[in-house]
Amino acid sequence: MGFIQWLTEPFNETRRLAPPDIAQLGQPGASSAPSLALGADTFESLEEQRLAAVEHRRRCLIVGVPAALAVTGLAYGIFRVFGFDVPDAVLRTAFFGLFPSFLLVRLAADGGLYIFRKTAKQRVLSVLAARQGLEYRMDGVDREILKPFKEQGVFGAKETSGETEDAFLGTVDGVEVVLFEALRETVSRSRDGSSSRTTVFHGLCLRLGFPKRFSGTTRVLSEWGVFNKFHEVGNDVPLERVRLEDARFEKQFEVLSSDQVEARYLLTPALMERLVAAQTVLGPRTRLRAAFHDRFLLLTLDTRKNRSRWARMRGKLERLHHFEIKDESKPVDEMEMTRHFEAELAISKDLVKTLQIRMETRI
Amino acid sequence: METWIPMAAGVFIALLIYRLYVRVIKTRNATLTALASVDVQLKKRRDLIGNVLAIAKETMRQETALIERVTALRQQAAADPDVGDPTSVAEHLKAENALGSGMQRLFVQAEAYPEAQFVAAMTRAQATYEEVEGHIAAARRFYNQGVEDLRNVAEIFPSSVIARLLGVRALPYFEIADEERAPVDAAQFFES
Repeated sequence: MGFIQWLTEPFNETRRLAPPDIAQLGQPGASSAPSLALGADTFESLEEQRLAAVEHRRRCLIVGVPAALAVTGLAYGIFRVFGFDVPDAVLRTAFFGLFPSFLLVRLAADGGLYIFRKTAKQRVLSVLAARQGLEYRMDGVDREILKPFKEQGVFGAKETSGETEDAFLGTVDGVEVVLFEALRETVSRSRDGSSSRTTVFHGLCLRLGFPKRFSGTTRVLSEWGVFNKFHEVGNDVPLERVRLEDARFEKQFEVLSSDQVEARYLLTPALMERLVAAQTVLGPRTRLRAAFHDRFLLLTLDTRKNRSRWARMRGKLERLHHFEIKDESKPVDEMEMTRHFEAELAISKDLVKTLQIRMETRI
Repeated sequence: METWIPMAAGVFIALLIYRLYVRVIKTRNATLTALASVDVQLKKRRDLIGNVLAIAKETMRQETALIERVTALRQQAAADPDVGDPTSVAEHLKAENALGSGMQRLFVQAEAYPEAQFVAAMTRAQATYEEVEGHIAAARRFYNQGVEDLRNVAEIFPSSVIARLLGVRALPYFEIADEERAPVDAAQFFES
């Protein structure tokens, strides 16, 4: 076996175990039921792939670290030959030799594990989603779905860029559901032209079909007092604060709407009670915001941790990634990947159940 | 120096009175806006009731008395109230409640007529009616909140003094009809 072959063998093995085609997974209840099973063979093949990726990483590090050190040494020698003094040569070597070569080693070593994570996510989440009647899209949602979330300001602050991933589309208990993870950022530029990114939202977004007709804009925001003033201005239609009769709801949320009557039509006493219940289910760490748009109820769940006011204002909240494999150093059957993903995916079902948004009740 | 203190006190009291005056007027106007919102929804319902009665007249020939009563209630409710007079507003809202109760009875009676075309038309009308009722319930909540604020302003000192001077009186609550408040007796639907 040649050296290159030895080095790339596990990686080729990883590539051989490519993710399955989602279309082949079929629909729940269809004749393709076996494809909805997450049997021992699925986990065996994923474990094979993980072991191959770990082995590939090990081999890359065995070869890569000495190679990177050699490149660093060579770079230092070259800089010295060209007449740079010692401190200058060290600095240049660090920038042009040490960092790039170790970065390359890292990228080459982790490539297999990256593919494993993607494959495992795709395979497990596709099956779990299909079991609930949902379609899984790893690359997130399209612009059309994201647009109303941006327009309705449910990300909490004005955002200019970001990405979405891990989207689930379908119907849960008769309610049209789109669930996805979103990271939204705002880019600010200083006078010297440098730009800095601040995360304004990182969490889950839900779009639920809503059984009532409405034409105005109604937003349910977490009680932030003066910060919500920003929502009242800068809209095509001016928004007014809506005072509602449920004291518990009023304590947790602030409602702004273009139509006082429509806001009350949408936020019935029953729905207010359920939104309070939903916030209780999600816990105090998760910030729930909602807006009614078109024929949908848009919900965002900001799940970042460390929510001190200072951290929140500076956008320095610790991110909490969803639908991710946490630790690939463990064997697949010890990762509890399925249980973990199922728990995260249950959020849409829990919210549909808690909010009881059904055509028959209309409340 | 000594004249400065009473002058400052006078300005302070004047500002306080002006503030109370603004509060009373703002609250009254907000309540009238809410009342106008209620009226918009009630008018929507009256328009819809006209169409429902037209459908009912064609088929529910044995219910002439009920249809005539609902028609009369509709005409009675259509009269505009004097928004400055709480008694007139109360009577108007009472008439609307009576109309709502009459319509509920009409929909119940309509279930006894099995003609397919009639059933389809009535089902559609009832669905729209329920949607309008949802809007009325929302407008009622908005109005009642305004009434509560107005009552506080008109009854609590010192704003009550300004309210009395301006002739601002508390408007009545728009309460649901007694028939709607009563618990549903499921047994009556199974009696033959």
